[in-house]
Amino acid sequence: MPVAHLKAVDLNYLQLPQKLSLDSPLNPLYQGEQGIEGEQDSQNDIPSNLVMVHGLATNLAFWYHLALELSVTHPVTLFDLRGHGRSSMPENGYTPPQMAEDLRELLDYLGIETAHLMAHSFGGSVILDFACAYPERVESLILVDVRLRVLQPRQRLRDWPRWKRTQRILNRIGVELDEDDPESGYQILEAIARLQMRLPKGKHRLRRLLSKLVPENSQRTASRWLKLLETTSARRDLKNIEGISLEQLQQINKPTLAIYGESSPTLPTANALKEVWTHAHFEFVPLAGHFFPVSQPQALIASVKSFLKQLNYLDNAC
Amino acid sequence: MQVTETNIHSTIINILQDMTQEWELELDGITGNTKLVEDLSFASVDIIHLVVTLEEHFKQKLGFDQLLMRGGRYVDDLSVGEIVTFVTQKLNG
Repeated sequence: MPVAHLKAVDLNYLQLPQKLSLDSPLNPLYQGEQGIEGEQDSQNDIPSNLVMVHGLATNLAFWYHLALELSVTHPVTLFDLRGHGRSSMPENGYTPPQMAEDLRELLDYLGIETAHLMAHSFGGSVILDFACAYPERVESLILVDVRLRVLQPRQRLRDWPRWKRTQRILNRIGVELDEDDPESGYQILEAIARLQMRLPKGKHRLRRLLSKLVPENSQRTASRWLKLLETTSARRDLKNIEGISLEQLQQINKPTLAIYGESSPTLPTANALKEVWTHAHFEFVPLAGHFFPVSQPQALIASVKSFLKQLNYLDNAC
Repeated sequence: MQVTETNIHSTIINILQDMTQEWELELDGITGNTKLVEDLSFASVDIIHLVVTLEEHFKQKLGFDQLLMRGGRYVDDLSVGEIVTFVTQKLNG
């Protein structure tokens, strides 16, 4: 895979070209012959890139399957955040604003002027910081199960919709966690990474259980996550995130799809965000937890396709 | 032109050896039975890297999604032999 050598980091990335041009009747964005004639510049026929940002302790593969489907109508760019996947692991720079700068540098490197930005979990904080710093480069935002501290200051395990059930699974595999830790997401990612490192080969049943809790089920990713926490400023940076302010959130007025799992621990963010962002479209995936892009990819693909299609109609109507 | 299964097997083994040479694996060698996740400690991004490298090598899209996904979910693991068979069918099918 190609690597972008940026100022302070090397980012691994993957670009999927748009599979069907807009003049193909098979393309869901096809406007008919009149629509094509109406285009004045062939450059305008190419929709903006969809750039997909993954969350913590995973990598660009988190989005790969969805990216293949979404690349039917849009060119798609995936990349590994710094310290993740096959990107380099600098000693510091793990706050969302710093990673938003990585994203800006990557877009410059790839010659992408404007993009639709889609992100899961922590990646959402990165694209929101990007949208605040560079609003002119954002076509639209797709937030997938993103928790925002300004709207949900604490995320305790005891408040998770399915905590008792999850706790029983964790206890069965020997993991005890602090129910009152306000930053439980980091706690659970670290505990499971440590368990993955000591799990003997061939323990498929246990690994399957773990895959219900985290998206990535390999020792290599677990070891990289632990290395990131132990040898860089990531643990400190992530704990001390101030996060986007309410005023900044209120200023973001890009077309937005916010989609959450109905049983996700980030639901308080979704409910509060609905009050702040009256312009955004909210969807809730039934029977879905935080990692529904992996467990129920088709639900997300359908929502994103429909959102992008609607944007395209609006663009053509203007 | 047909590409033989033996050639595809050697190509895939060479690519895997290149990818893993600095990983300090406790492994005697890579064979058809070697599993990507269990034996080579592949992360999901390494599987995508392998896919991209193979498509670049054979200069065509191979539709790996059919191999990586079953029932709408990623498969737990894949053996080298399964990949060789899949690529052989795609190139010669």
